[in-house]
Amino acid sequence: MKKGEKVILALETSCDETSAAVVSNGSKILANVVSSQIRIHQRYGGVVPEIASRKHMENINYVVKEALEQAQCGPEDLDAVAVTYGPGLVGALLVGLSFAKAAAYALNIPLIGVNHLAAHIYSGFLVEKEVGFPIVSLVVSGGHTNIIHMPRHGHFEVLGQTRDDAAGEVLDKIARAMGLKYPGGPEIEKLAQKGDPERFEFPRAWLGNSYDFSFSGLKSSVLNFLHNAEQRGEEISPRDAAAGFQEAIFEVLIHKTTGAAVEKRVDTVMLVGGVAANKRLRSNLKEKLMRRGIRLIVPPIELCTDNAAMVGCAAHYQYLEGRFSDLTLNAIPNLGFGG
Amino acid sequence: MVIIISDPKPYTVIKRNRGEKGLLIKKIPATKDMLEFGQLIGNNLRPGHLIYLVGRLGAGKTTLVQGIAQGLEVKGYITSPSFTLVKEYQGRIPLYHMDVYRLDDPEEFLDLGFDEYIHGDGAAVIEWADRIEHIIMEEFLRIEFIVDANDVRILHMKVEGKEHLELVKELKKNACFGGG
Repeated sequence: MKKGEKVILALETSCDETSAAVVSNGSKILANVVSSQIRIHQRYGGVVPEIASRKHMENINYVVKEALEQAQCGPEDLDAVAVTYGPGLVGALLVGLSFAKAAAYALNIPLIGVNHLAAHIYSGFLVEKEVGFPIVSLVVSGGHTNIIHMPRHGHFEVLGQTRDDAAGEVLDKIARAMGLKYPGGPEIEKLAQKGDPERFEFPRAWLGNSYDFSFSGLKSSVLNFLHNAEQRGEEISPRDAAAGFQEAIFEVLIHKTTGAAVEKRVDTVMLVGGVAANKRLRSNLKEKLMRRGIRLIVPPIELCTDNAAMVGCAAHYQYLEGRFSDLTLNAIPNLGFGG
Repeated sequence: MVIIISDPKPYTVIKRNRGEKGLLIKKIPATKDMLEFGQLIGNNLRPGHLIYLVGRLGAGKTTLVQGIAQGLEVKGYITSPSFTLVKEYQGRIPLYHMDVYRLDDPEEFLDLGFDEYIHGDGAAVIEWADRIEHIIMEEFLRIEFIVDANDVRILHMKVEGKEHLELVKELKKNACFGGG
């Protein structure tokens, strides 16, 4: 470790993934280990990671050990331990949180509690460190659909959120109804690439001037469409159908994100979260923003899905401001901003 | 108390209950009726109440829960728990809204400590409850959503246990039901 470098061990266990990362100075990823990606079960004879907290408990020691080995760093090199403390599943969050508290206490270094949504936004700062504020971010994943305005580091204003289903979740559910694999987003994307997005028109919920989202109406509409076609024994093109409703989701995401970016007079928009992996969403949003002279930052896919490197990045800026947590930090399943 | 049957045959449980005395049927013509009926349930929920929701995607399960939340005086939006598995809301009493679709092994339900929510200080609603039905609870209200050819929702309700019979009695005071 070079002198003056701040090295943070970060943990993320808010939902399905057990992840540990070592991040230096908020930008250099020395290791970013995600349980489902490294096939722990092959290497250590364990089990495939699943949702239960028990699985996080089985994984966490291995994942942290692997991260420290990859980073070639020992516990004595760490300056702080960071951990996601919400929003998420309480039992899952507690595993990472307990580990982080124990490590911070034993090593006598600061503990930094990080908001999972803030961490997603900071995945953009892993790609580009010097981004001029203010920034608008679209966080879009299986669990979240938020437009967030960030006037400076550590400050977040939620401009819009979903009132029912998250965008990624609707993609999953429609994929399920079409008999596709889980997670459904990538399967829908594959089909949609060869389909005509204008053949079938599905409803868009604009909700007036609000930056909020609602996707349950679209979900019902698509499910009825599929169901009615089945009842009539009609063959519909899965490609065109996939392209049609993917477009119905993306058009609203893109329109509202662009609107928020213009209103907040930002130069930069970040697209983060698992659904940011979708190429059509990336390119259509980029194009729409470019016409307004706004640029788009999209992290690589491994930083868009849940991972601990983004937690380490967010924690770095909290470290610089001295915003540490004490050992009474608790998991907050419905953590928002402003708390 | 929770009992797990080692050889799960959830559907035999459902069949046995069909046609039995105590099956209530409620017709729900439109979304607003689903919200209204949910509100009625929410108005009458007490700590320890457990509601199972069973039905295909888009059958109206989450809409019913939105109504239940209104009845419990929960502020804000009820967003889907499919991804996070459980969401907690503060109303007149706490509401635990769960979705167990993603659980591969019903025992994960217990690993996640969900039975503690059920026996806690609030009321619990579980979507896709047919996936955990061989984890037998002593008391519950089970609501199965059936969608007919005219897009009308038919709710088949089955109740188990004294506390939940009381809940159904309250519902019967304010709503019409078919069935036995």
